[in-house]
Amino acid sequence: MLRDLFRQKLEKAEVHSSPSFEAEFFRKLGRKEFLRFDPLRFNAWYAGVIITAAALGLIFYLNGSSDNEADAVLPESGRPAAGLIRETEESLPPRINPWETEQEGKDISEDSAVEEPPGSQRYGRLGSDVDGGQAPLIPPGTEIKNAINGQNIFQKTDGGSERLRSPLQHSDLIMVSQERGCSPLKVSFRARSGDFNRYRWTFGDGGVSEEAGPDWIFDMEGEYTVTLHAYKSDELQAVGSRVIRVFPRPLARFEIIPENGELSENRIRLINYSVNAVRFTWDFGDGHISGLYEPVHVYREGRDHSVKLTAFSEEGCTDTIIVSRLPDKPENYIEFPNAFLPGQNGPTGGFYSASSDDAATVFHPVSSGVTNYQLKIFSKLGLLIFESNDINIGWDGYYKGRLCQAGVYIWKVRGTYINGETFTRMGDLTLLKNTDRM
Amino acid sequence: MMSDQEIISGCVRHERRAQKMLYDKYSGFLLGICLRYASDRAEAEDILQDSLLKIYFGIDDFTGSGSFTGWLRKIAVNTAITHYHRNLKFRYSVDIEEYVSTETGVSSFEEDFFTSDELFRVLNELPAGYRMVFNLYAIEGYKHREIAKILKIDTNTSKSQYCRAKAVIRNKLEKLRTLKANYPAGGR
Repeated sequence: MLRDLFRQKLEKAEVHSSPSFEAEFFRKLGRKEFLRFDPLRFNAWYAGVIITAAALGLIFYLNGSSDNEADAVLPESGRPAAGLIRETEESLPPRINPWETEQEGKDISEDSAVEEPPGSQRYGRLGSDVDGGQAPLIPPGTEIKNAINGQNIFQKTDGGSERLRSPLQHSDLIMVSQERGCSPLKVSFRARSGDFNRYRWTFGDGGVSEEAGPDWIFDMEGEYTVTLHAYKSDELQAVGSRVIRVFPRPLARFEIIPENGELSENRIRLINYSVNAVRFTWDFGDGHISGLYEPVHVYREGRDHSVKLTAFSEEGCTDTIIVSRLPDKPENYIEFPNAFLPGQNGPTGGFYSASSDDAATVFHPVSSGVTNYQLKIFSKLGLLIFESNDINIGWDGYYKGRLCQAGVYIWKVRGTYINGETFTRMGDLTLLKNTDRM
Repeated sequence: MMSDQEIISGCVRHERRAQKMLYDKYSGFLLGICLRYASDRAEAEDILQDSLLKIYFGIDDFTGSGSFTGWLRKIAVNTAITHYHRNLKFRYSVDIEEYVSTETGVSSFEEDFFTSDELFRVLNELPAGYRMVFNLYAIEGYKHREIAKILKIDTNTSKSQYCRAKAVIRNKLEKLRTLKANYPAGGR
């Protein structure tokens, strides 16, 4: 409708530009064309060449026999620059082996092993012991033996082990209440075989715990590697880790159109603003549901139902929002100003717009939900000088084509709101005159 | 009158005569597009000038595969969008939520009732953001998703702005209609 109207009328609409624009534009185009290089036409480049040539000619002319000198200048000015480049190349530090610098950051006991490059024998052996391919992250030089044998390992690399994940993953060491779920996700952890007296849990989100069976809540979506170091009398007995996957929760949001339920019909349109969701269920509160993205619903009786939207993410996480449409909530109101400043250029018919409101040239109410309306304006002597049955038409300050005198007038309004309630209000208004303004 | 093909090849060689021809033939059409995106005529002419310069200096890029007017339109629309982005910070925005909420019913508008001049004026009076979204969605036929990307806003913003733009336009047209019905001779 509206779209077709505009498309039909304006898509191919032609508007003629003013002649001054055309002249101005072609002047500008001429300037731009002059700046563009074109071998076939005189332009700024040729002009530049001519000017340069003329300038050079002038210099030669003034210097007389300076042919050789001019030549000599060029190589001299070129040389230092070349030398400079060479020097800077040489002064660059030698390439740094990234592996070495990374080593420095870690807490490693045996200095002698540090220089061993990745992929060495020692490193390969280690990898074979470990599942999950986590081994490449272990720096060579860290003494790692079989943790189950009770060797003193990782004592020094406590901080590092989080970064590296555990080298010895026993996925069966940790028991969890659930491995995946929607955020915020509460997970209960427990070690499987209970022959330990000290525990150290790291949850992968920065949290740690020393409890035997902690409960942990993951607020943010993501993949968390939860690691347990289990000790018996201060000796590390076992290390295990589990990956917990936390899915994002969708956000259910929507808007009901018309906003305040002003329409007398019972038809509502829903605009879906949900994020992270792939499936939706709408409950209109009257026993009807819908699975559409943006349904339109017609209420058979009453409109004071609340609408509930449940949004489902791809992983099955849900979010629910309820918007209630109370019948009294769409406020019905009518308010009048107490003064206005009519235009002095003759009657306008009382139509008002944003611009007339800025200048306050029309006396009219602001309202919502008014269906029936009658406005009367009287002079102080009781003479009826204006009457309107249309809320879109206010008083422009004229009576029989002539601007009324500045002063106080009385208004009276009667009408009904869409909910059937009637209203009768009256008050006074001041007609202002400003002689400065035309 | 030269054909489009002659105009294009002339413009590729930067011949003044062909440039003038293109101007005479298409400037009205282009200004029509620019005016939809502008808040007044001066702004529309600014956009038109930039678009024409882009057209004259970028005509080599026209491959000839699509329609020429389609290409021209695209340049004008893109220039208008650039213009909108550039002027965003200078615009003063009007909060018109209040009078948007008095949405009038779903009434249809007869196509011949309003002149295109009036429709242009209705568009010009819209807040810039609404106008961009309305133009791009209703007339140019972009999807909300694409508009969001073009205008660097959220898809939902695009949707709700379109919705509100429609309400404002409907309001204005309704008023215009009563006005025209009451004063058939003149109008405003």
